Amino acid sequence: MAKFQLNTREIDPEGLIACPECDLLIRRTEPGPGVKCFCPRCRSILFHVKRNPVERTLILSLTGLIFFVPAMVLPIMTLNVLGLEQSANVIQWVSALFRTGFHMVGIVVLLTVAVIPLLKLLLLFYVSMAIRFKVDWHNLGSFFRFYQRMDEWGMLEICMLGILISIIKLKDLAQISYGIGLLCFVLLLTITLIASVTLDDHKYWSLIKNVKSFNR
Amino acid sequence: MDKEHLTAREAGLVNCLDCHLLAIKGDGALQMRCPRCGARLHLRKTNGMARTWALLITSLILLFPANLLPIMTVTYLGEREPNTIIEGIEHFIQSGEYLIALIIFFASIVVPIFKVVGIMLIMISIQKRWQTWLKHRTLMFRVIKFIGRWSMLDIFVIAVMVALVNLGTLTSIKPAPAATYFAAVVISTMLASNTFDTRLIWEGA
Repeated sequence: MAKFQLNTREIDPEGLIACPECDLLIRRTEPGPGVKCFCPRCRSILFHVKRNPVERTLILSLTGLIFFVPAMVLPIMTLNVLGLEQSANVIQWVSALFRTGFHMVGIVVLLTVAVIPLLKLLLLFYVSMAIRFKVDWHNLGSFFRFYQRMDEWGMLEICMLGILISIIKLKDLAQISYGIGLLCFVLLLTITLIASVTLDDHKYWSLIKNVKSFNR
Repeated sequence: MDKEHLTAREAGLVNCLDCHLLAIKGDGALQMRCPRCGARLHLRKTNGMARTWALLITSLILLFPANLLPIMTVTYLGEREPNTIIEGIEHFIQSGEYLIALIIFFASIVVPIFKVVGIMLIMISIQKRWQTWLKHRTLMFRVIKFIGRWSMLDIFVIAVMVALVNLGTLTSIKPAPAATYFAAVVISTMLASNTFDTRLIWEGA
């Protein structure tokens, strides 16, 4: 993209965007799908145009929601030491932290692994449905903004690495068998990751505005 | 004006960080809201420097108990042994799991320290009004922001192990005080990278 040359006193904000990381003004272009635009000054990613962004996100959020409950309540894995068995699901991780008196840590785990991932999927589903079927549901903008701000606080993929490390740590101590919950957890995290990577937020914001004017 | 480029601020525009709309800046008497998404608009994030300094100093203080106190207590066949983060890494090295030791070393020790020191250096460079290495400083911040959340790794390892290894009084794993401090370090450094405004690096460039 060309740098914005200062040669006019009248500036039309409609045809411009600003880099969120260095505030440079850049002329807006309408590139085709798959194109990634970088800021010419600081090299931040300005936007990335995706194919079928709404349908894809709608399907992904719905699929994610299907796997959410089994991923939380089915046992992730079972430990077997000398005939003693202990299995745990995500909810039991949190209750074990509460039981041992570490309430703050328990709340952090509950939020980052259960509450925020669920909210993210619900919000994405709600906004995508409204955009896809052009219905002006309440608070579309606020909900989508809430999604964007919570995105980094959902930590399913980090938790997965934590599960892998615990497996390696425990494998010498005891026999481990894996539950169906682990499979659901992996699916949930994969779907959530794909949904946030393929989300086209620029497109969503302009579509949210269209929905509002369409229904006026 | 004969500058090569123009920023939104110089053109009298405000960039909405939520929906990317450019709005024309009003007289500043009223709190501006984005005409498209309704978010509060600010030329730069409110009190970016002060808030980021406060959160970084908080993280720096919390780093000490997080690293010096035991993070979990392992009871194996009746023998209680409290473990700090470093001791946990030593265990992995002793049992030959070098890759895991490296991952935990990076996520729990290198990343939090690199984050706090890195953002502090960027902030000092802004306050000293350095006009060099602009691109590199922005890139460094981008890397810091991206890797920061991965420090939460240790907290999840503890959550999984505490729930699973609970086989009576003989063999169990329990969290220890550093777990709370460590979670607080990760949260406050993540908040610090959210209150920091990279556009301050480019001010006056």
